[in-house]
Amino acid sequence: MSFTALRSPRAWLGPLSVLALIAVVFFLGERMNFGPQQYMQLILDGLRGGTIYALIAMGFVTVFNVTGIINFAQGAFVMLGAMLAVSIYDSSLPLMPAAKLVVAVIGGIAGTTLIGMLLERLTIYPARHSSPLTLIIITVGAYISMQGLALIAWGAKPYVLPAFTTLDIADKTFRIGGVVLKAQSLWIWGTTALVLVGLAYFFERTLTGKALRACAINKRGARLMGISVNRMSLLAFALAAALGAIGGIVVAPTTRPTYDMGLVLGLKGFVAAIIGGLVSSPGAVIGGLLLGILENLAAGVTRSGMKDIYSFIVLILVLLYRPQGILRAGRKPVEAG
Amino acid sequence: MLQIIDLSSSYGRIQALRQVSLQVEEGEIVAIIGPNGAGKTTLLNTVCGLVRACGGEIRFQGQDITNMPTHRIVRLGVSQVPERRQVFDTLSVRENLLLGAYQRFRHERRSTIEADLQQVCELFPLLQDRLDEPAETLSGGMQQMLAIGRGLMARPKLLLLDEPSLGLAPLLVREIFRIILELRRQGTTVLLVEQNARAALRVADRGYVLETGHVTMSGTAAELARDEAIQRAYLGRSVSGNHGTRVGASEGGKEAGRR
Repeated sequence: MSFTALRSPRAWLGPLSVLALIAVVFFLGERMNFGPQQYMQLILDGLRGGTIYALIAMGFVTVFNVTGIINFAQGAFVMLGAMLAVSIYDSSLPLMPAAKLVVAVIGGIAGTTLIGMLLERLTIYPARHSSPLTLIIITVGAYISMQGLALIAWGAKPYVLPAFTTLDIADKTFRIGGVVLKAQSLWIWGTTALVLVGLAYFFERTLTGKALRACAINKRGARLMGISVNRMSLLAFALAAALGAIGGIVVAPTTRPTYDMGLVLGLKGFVAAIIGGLVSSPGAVIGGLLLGILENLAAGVTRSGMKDIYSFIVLILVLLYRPQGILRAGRKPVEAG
Repeated sequence: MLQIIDLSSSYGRIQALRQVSLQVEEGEIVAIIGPNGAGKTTLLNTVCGLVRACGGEIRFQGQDITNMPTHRIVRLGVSQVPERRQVFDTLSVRENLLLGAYQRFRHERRSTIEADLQQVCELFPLLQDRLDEPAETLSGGMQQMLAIGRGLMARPKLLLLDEPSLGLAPLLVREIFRIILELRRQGTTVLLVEQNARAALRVADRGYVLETGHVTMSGTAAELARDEAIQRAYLGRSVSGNHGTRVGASEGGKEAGRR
């Protein structure tokens, strides 16, 4: 943003509202006698949640870039990843707990990826000549059916996936200057960092990744290169499903996975993707982290039950005032990577 | 090499092509000229499978390719350099060129493809220095060269060129047509769609005139260039006031077609 741009009142709106928000948070926090420690704790926990949103948001971005549709079934992938992993872990496989967890993680991701590909072939592919709106509504239907099937398969009760470090419900915690850090948070951040590096490598260095980006930039041009757009759409769904599943699995030990966990997580991933402009993966990551911190701070100084409300207020505000996302990358699809 | 027999296709209810028949022999440059909206681009897109044919037949090297998926047609050796270039603007020049060879990575070694990339760079020396820059930073003319280079990276048996001179400065137009001749010398068959009829007929062996979706005239390029009706309609030259036959490609341009 240049200095001349700052002269327009609209440009001030963003920074001013952020400042106002911080002021409100501090004002409310003051009344609860919050010190730096409390704020740090809220931010840290927010970052953990935000990382999951970022993973889910990248799934939205990948599918949107390649196919032009918003895949509201993304939340179902999150739920399926967690539930499949839990089921494998709870099964009677004759393995050590650690080995079982590894199998559960891999199985959860692989199973969800397969389901994602199946979903694309069974619902999106047959309707590929329809308008994006039709396809988006199909994904909503797909989400609802998958959640329904999950209810039949797993029931309504919450499940437990042990923390990765302790292989127990109780996680190892670190205390750093009065701030409590769960070991699972480190798993979440480490996994996400690995996924980001892997994705960057895939999109920047491999032919298939470049073909996927080419589809996102110019579908007609891509087809003329002999790239099968249908196959890329399948690949995008596979990738999105894997990303969702990874998010669901690493977050599972910090929540109690249920058949309907995908709804809120999926929608928040969508909010994160919108904050980031819907077309950029780095934007999705920043959007996810910001959203996580914001909702956790806001809920921390008011009531924790109101977390979701704040997220959707953010969604509405972004759609009203920054529909192109906070990175201003929204003028044209910039990259899928 | 390419036979189009009674081909019809339409966009919605508007019929864009009506029973078009034409042939391209191996090693030829064939030009399709005609006014804006005559269906020239639709014709190329139908050959590539981007637009569905609703009647007729397209045969490539004896094989029926009518309504085949685009990626399979490309694999058979048909490559289109689309109108307005359609380069991947945020990918680098090198990535654009490599994606041109997308279908070849499956069976061929990377070194062969890299060697072809070098060859394309020799053909378009200006691209060489900018291989790692995003395609969107190139000028229109260089993007056109990139688009042609990308098309060549597929090692096509048949190259379809859609309006390669559109919107380019005269000097670049001449350069593009020089390259088309060079391609023919190297054995590539070219089907060329152009509004710049003068330049097109100068490089082509044969030509077809497409008007409102059907072929109204065909013949060798020389015959067409001599034809009075074509001279009036597309070459922007009154029959009596002939001011020399050697008029540079640069002077033709789009206006010629409209006059």
